[in-house]
Amino acid sequence: MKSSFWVKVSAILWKDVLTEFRTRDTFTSVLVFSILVIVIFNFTFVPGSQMFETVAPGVLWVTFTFAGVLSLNRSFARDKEKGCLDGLVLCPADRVALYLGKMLSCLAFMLVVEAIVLPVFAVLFDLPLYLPKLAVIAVVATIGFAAVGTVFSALVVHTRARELLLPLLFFPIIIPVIIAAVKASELALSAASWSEMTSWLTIIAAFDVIFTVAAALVFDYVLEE
Amino acid sequence: MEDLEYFLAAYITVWIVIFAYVLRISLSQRNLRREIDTLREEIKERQRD
Amino acid sequence: MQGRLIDYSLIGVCFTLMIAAISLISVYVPTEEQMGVVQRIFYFHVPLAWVAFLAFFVVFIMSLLYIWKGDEKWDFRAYASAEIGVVFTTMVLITGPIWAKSAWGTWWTWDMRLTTTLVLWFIYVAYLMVRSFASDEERGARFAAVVGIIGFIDVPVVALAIVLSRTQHPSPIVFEGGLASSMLLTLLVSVAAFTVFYVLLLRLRASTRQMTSEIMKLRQELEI
Repeated sequence: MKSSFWVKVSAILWKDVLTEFRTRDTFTSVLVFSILVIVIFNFTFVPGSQMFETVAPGVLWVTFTFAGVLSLNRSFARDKEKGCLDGLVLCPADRVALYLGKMLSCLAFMLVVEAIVLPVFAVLFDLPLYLPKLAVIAVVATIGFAAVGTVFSALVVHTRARELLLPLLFFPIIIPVIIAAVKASELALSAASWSEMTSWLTIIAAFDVIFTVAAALVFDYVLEE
Repeated sequence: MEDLEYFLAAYITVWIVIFAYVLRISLSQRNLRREIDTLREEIKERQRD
Repeated sequence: MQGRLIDYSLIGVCFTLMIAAISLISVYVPTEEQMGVVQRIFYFHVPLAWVAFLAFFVVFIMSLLYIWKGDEKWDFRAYASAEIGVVFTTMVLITGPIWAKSAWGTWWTWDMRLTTTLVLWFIYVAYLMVRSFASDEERGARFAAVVGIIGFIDVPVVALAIVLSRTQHPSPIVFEGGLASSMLLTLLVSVAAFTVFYVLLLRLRASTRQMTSEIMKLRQELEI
């Protein structure tokens, strides 16, 4: 029983990875978009000024949030366009398995984008390339993005103007994650120790746990019967 | 007396919003009731035919 | 008929309490020494905020009930409460800065209460938009219930994150020392008045939703 649960989760995850890997259209556009956001932010400050260090975490998280909402938009929309959504709803898998599969695929997608954007960001902001603390913060926060985002992404495919509605739903809910991630990143960039960041990471981790559970419980109601 | 102006501004805004909202609800309620009545009558007439 | 009777008695109670609250606010309560007349905003700003939070809590409960029982009457109440909550939060967000500008000299500070209220406003505006953008009524109700539940769970997390991030700023002082008993009385009467008003609005607005759905059913019947 337990093994079949994870088999289903990984089947859904694998299906999304394969579709994305074959076309790579979403990946390319989200990646280029993210780098564009960072570049545009660069024009809004005077280069080399002291401002740079204080605004860098903000720029990074605005970029990640925008990239996140773009990729979430595609996650279920693609399934719907290809008629795969009906298949997913009809497949004899537990709703929790369905949720986890989609959530992990969103998470994997965002993490791959972030893994490429982070070094680009470091180069453009003249930061060291090796940023383990920032990477940890990014992983923890992105779990929160995916946990909430998957439900909303499934919800908006059945509404008009879905590309507009998703950010309106998604941004207010993830505000605590963004606040904590920006604060933690500030500390990470000013070479603070791990223990100083603990309280922020705890908040994000708590958010991850609460919303993964809540989202898995309500996921059934955003799918069609 | 600048104080009083701020107070009045807040006070008046609140009452305007409340009145507008209540008015909107009661108007829509009246229209809906009318529509329900006409629809019911129509159904009755059809049943008679 | 019983519903009518409740409505009329609620209107009576609400009206009496409102009149009492208005006269207490404008005549009875002493003017606060440091902030002056403008501090009287407090006696409706706080009740409005209280009703807004109450309304969103009701949305949460009604959304759970709707998902659990599937009866659309819970959805009517959830929708009504969300709309009233947004209207009240809007008033809170208007009166707050007016008071703050006069009392603290600034329209806005990013402290916990203000920011959380603003985030709440965004969440429930999105809630209302989900309903109007959904492709059909039943779907909209289900989706909105999900937003109503997730949105409410989010509130304490938002508040916590903001409290921790703003520790270096002094939090604005509303009162030095406690509230005088006359002020407390005025506040309580006002809170009671607005709460009864909320219940009244909730009943009205929910019945409007009920009528809309009845019209849909009658129309379907006619087309057959």
